[in-house]
Amino acid sequence: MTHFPYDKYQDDLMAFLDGTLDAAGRERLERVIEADPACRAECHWFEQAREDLESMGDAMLENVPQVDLVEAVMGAVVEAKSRPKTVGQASRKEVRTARYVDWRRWALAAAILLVLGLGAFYAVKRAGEESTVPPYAEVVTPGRGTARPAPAGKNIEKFDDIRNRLRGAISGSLAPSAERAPEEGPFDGVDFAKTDELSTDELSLGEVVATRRDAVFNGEALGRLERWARLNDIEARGVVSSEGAAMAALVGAAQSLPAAEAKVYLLAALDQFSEDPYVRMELAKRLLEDPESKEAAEMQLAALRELDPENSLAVWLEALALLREGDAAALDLLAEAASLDRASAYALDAAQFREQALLANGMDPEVARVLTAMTGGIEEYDFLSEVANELLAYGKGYEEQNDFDAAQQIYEAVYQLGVQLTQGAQFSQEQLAALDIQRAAIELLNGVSSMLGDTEQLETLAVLAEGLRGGIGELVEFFGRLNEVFSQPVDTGWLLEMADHVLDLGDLAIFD
Amino acid sequence: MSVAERTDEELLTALCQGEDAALAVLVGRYQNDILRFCVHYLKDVERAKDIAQETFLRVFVARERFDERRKFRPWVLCIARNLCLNELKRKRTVPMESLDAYSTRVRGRPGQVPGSNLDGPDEAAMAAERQAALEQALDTLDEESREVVILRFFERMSARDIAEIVGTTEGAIRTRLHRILRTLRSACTEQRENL
Repeated sequence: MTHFPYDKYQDDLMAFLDGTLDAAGRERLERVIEADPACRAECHWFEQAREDLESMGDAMLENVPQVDLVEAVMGAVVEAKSRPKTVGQASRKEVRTARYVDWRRWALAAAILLVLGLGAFYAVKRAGEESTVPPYAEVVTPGRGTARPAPAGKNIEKFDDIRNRLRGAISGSLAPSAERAPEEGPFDGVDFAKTDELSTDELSLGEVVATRRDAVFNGEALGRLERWARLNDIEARGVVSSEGAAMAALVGAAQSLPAAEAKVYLLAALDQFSEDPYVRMELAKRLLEDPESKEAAEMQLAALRELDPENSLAVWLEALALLREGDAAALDLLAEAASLDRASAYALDAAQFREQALLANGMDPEVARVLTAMTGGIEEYDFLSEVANELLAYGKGYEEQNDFDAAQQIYEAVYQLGVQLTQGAQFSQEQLAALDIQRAAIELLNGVSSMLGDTEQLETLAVLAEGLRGGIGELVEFFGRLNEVFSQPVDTGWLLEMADHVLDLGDLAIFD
Repeated sequence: MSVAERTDEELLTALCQGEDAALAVLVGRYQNDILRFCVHYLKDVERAKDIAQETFLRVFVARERFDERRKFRPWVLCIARNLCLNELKRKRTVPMESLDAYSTRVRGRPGQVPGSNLDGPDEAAMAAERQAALEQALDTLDEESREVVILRFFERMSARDIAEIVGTTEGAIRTRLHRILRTLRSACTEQRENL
């Protein structure tokens, strides 16, 4: 399109057409119009077009009748207000059909919350918490991780709150053996105060196992295991700068580096691991952290989709990137992502690369193996929760703007993400993320559906919540069995075999 | 002060305080505006009526969320717009009618402007020709641009109100309008040259 010298006055020109240009602006614009014939011609055309368009708009509405909606609307409002536990919402569906059964809707909504709440089962609700629903992550697993900032202007405190409360929380009450003291074993007698002072290359298998046993009762112990299993940034820089470090170790070390540094090593690793979906995913994640690398991130996600077309995670990330830009196409992409069957953040590959980094940093091989096996999936839990959290926040944003359909669309999509993750999970932590995500999505869907009086949706949600409850039960049992194992003396041979098995197939398969 | 004399925002505050009669006044005040607004999106009076009704129900449902610093009109139009866009999404199998086709169906034949207040037959013919060209040009616009045209010219909203409804800034709307008008102008010029 041609540009003109008077383009800088486009704001004035449009304000002039709007009739909102002030006197000084009008004077300025008139001078420009007088001096520039092209501007004069354009201005004249615009004015003419405005008149023509307004006239066309009027003509289109000529046959639109006058209506009186007062009675219908007020009738629906009265009806809505007469319901039990008056919320006072009604929907078009209600007005049009008036065939729903009030008590049933409210009973359904309450039932869903009850199923999701699980509060009666585990009684883990803590004083002062606003939420009536304890996060599954809190009730079934030891916690870790720090809540990351929510997208600006979005109200996601509830889900973030889950993550905050994770730190230091361990539900020993969930472990069947938690009430009895652990039996003595070959790894006992560890002074935990001293283990904090140990550098990772000084750690022994005994300290790791004793700490894991301690974690059955003490959430902080898991934090210690996590710290050991992950290089800090100084150690990671040491690994990437050491001569002769294997490329796999560099990839593992990159997990502990800030995005700007990590992407350099991950890009270099592509020479060797160009067909590795995990490396592509990790690189894309890091590139997405920098808005200026958006295109490069998209390229990596496209490559990832090609490498692993059945994994939907690349599509979810693309959709999230579009949402961040306010691109409406994001909703279509979410629908595409939701239509796929499986999602995975490649926790197993991540653990294997991380083990290589620990080894390159001088950790004892047996210690590195066991530690990595014990902590596999934790980073991915954080990452997946963060993705879901942000997507749900956009849904809430739509809800706040009264665009309930878009909000529901996002919540439903996020629920599907949770379902897909259960299909792709190899680690209990991934499974946990999957269930947490489903729970959060159902909770939000329940809120919207209750408000809109969508009985059909509430019935569906009740079924989904029941299914979710089954999944939670299984995971609770799994963590219980795991805690049971570490409450008893552990044989070194079995431990190493278990670690091999976990780093081969993930921990969800260890009791198979 | 009687209910009917209160401002929209005062009425909404009253509604939040449990005064349902305030909603009836708001419905009475805006029902035809909302209906017309919805017709522009949906091109179907019956569907527009349903959406207009639902819009007021959503106002009731969301009354507590109204930000008192905002004006009621853009807020309610924002709700109506979202409902219309969702309705269009749901009915995606039925493609959006072109403005040209719609105006033809409503008015008889393309370019004809019934009831226009033009002075003489020559001027009326010229206006009809210009409008026919504009209609064709409008159909080449993307949906977002057409929406801005509808809001600005058919609904005669200010850039500020449009910005509030579509969730952007006044400046961005002005820039977009300028670009759209130029696109229309260039399309109309091209049509004339091709004749």
